[in-house]
Formats: sequence, structure tokens, C-alpha cells
Amino acid sequence: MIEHLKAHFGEDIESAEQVGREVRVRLRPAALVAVCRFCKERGYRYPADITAVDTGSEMRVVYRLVSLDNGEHAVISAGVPRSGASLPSITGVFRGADWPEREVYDLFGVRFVSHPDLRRILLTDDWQGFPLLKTGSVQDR
Amino acid sequence: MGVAKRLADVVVLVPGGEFLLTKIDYVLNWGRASSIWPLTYGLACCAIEMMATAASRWDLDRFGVMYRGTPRQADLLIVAGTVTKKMAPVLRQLYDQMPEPKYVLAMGGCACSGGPFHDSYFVVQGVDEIVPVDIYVPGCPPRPEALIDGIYRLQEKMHRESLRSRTA
Repeated sequence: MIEHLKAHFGEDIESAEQVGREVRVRLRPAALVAVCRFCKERGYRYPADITAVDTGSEMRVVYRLVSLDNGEHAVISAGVPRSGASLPSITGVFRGADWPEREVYDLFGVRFVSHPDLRRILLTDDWQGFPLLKTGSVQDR
Repeated sequence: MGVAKRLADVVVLVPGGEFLLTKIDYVLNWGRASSIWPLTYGLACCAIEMMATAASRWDLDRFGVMYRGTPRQADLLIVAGTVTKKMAPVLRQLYDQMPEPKYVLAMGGCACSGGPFHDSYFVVQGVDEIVPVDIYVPGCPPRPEALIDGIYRLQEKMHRESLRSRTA
């Protein structure tokens, strides 16, 4: 899998390693949708989770795709700048990514370009700010 | 049970045996306390304990407690679980839809005070911020015995009420 990815996407793959039954791939945001489609065509059809990590220097959005054929996981992550973080939406590849992407937007403030309905999902509509950022304010309760 | 008074304390037999005298407060409170119908409002793990309390092992039915699926038929709101700020308006609306007289039992740490979510950004720090609470049952989650004890306490509270004043 790693060789296939590197052969297809070259420089866009920042790093890739096999850990147990997991393929961990760090890539450039521009290649995200294409890599997701690539993985889907190779059996990773189940987007188990989408989340994000605020490392302080960047916002790393993590996608966990599961292959239901052999139980392998592909953990794909893309780093974007913390301020005004934005990524292409993968809802065009995985329709089920709709709500998980809304959750990441809701809690981390990452905007997903071309998402069909990017609203808050867990917090109330009038919420100010994004509570899981390491910096920035959480409104008073 | 300790809840119902001894019959001799509240009933006077009129000589001849055809009539008896008693207090209207006692009869009303007895009826009210013996048929508490709670609204099923389970939100988290406390709901599992609440369901267990209603099932055969603890069997709330024997106290006349029967869960209802609508606030219109309920006189007790058992808040079993964590109330988030998004859920808070729903809780308030359901409470408002209940007919008087109505009571609220906060079950578990979350409903009492926020519990493990103390100082959380999205958890209501106790449902008494939204609705008036009659009985607090602590625990995480409380065992069914604790919930039954809470219902006993509510029955005692009902028995202290009077037509002249709602507040016990």
C-alpha cells in the first residue's frame, strides 16, 4: 500500500509507515481527496473517524479509514495552519464524512471547503469560538 | 414502609360503622404518593439504572410507579443523566408540558451538580439551573436502591403537603 501511495502521489506524501495493521500516512492537504479516493478504491471503504489534533504549531486533521476486507486501517493526516484552518471536504468520496467533518468544524474550527452543510453539530448554534483549541477562549458558562 | 400513616391515626370510625371520617389532605396525598408516574428522561448511564429499577428485580411497579412516555401523563420528572446546554431547552419544555402538581428528581452526580463534568464548557452544572428540583439522588450512577430511596423521600414530601399550601 505504501509503495502504491508513494508511486501515485510522490511529493504529496510527506511520510508513510506501517505500524502493525495500520498504515500511517501524512500528506499535503492538496492531495487529501485524491488519496481518500485512492484508498477507497483499494478496500478502505469505511471512514471510521475524523478528528483533529491542535499541536500548537499546526492543526492536524486525522482520518481513519478501515478496510472491511482485511481489517487494516489507513490513518491519513494533513496539517494545516491553525489560523483560518481549511481543508477540502471528503464528502464527495465518503458521504458519511458529513457529520464527522461538522464535528471537527464545531470543536476545532477547521473549515471544510465544498462541504454540503457546514453547520455546528454538537454545540448550540449561537456558540462563540471553538472549545478544543489549545489557545483561545471558551465562553463563560 | 414508613410512608403511609397508620390507619388509626387518620381514620375515625363513626359509631354504627357505616361512615368514617378522615382528612381530605390524607386521602389526596395518599393517592398522589401511591401512583407516581415519572416521565422517562434517561440521558446517560443513569438511565440504565433507572430502567433496571423499573424492571423485575427492583420492580418500581409495586409502589405504583409507572413510567410514561409523554410529559402530559407524568407527575415526576426523573432527570437521569448528563444535561448538556443543547439539551437544556428541551428539558425545560418537557417540564413545562407536565400538568401540576409536578415534581423533579435529579438522579446522579451530573443532574445534581454537573458531577464529573464540573466546570465543563457544555454541561449544565446541575438541573436546578433549569427546573426546580425536589429530590437529589447522588451517585455515579446511583444504584436502584438509591433511586427507590429517593422516591420514598418524595412520597414523604407529598405526605407533608396540604390543600392549604403546596409547599411541604
